[in-house]
Amino acid sequence: MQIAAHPYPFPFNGQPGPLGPGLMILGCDQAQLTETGGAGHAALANVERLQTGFSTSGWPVVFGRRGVGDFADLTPVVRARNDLRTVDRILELSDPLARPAIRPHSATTFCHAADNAFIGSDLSHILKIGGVQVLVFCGLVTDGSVHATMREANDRGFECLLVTDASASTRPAFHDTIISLTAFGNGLFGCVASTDAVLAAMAKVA
Amino acid sequence: MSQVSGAQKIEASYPWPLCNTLSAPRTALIIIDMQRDFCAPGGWVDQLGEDIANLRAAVAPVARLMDAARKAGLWIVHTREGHRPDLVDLNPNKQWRTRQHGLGIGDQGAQGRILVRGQTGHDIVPECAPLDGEIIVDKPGKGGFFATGLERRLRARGIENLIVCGVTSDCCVQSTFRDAGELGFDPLLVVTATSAVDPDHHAGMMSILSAFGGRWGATADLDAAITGLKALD
Repeated sequence: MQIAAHPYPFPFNGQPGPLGPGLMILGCDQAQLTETGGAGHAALANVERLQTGFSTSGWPVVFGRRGVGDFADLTPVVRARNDLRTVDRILELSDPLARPAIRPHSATTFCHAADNAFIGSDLSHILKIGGVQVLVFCGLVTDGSVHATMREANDRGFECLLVTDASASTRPAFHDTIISLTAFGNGLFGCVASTDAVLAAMAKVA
Repeated sequence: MSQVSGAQKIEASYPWPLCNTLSAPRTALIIIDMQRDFCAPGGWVDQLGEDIANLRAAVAPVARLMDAARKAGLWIVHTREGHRPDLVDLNPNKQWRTRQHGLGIGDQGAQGRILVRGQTGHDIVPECAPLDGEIIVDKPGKGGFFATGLERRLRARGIENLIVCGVTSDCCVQSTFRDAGELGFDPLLVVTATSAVDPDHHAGMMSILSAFGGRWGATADLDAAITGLKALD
């Protein structure tokens, strides 16, 4: 598989992994959709395209819902900081604003309280059992869960790609900063590519 | 032992620490990756032909902050990014992408093998050298908590608050800072004691970290941090 990505054709060794690359959809709840406005709506349309493509190819799709069962699950300082947030707040999963803004189709859904979705979740276990080695990231918000989870995945040795038009931030400048430093230095955190580039590469593999 | 007033805080993006008062036993200074390979002439970044002026600019502020933290009696932790000599902890894609520059991790450079433990380039610059009793955490990734004993050692000592500085602001510093906040520590990033190769990346990352009240921790400038620490002398 080869996706026309920047700064190099992705993945680095052309190997998508035994069961195919995994699509990691993060965020995408009602609150984040509202807070990211038009950019968020546009991103979600591309998330849907990616999800359809991965499902059709029979490749793994993982959907992360950020939130807690109860605010008592947050340590006191995390809870106090969350109370200060005017935007991008961690919600209780039962809150209507925490409901997914897209349908997860056949995705494996997991919940996480931290922007780094590996913290305190079963994400690494799911990915290991699924034999996932390559991850394609999309969702909301670019500078929050998307970047933090991708950085941790990169540290863990996953080959990672950020889909630039299938992710969005509450501030366009934040989105642009993350894309730029992701690709810096021959892919500091991984590669970046458009939804069209990902789907074009998938069509060739099919 | 100094008297701690009820309102003892560092002036930051929020009065820090948020849930308790500033005290040496609960606070550590963590200095990230002030290694020759990043911020010294002849190190890896320099050998790649990148301008190290911005990274070098962090050396003096970090040294001042270390001095203030030592006088205040804080626990001091230094991190180094790098790998075992046999490279068993080096992700294949990380080795591959760094080799595309022409000089990858593990390869022989002018100051020894790049980012390999025990080599000169991997070690901390003399201006920021650890003292006896301070610890060094060697890490194979960007986040200081990934595949290290850092969290365990902080918890064992009852550390709740972390003052964070070092390089690079857009990579290992922000990764460690954010994870610290999400793991339940209260981190304070001293923005003028950190820097990146690209100043736009530095500025952009500082905006992200300080937005919306500080999603993962507090930010402050060096003078505010030193003023706060002096009260603990």
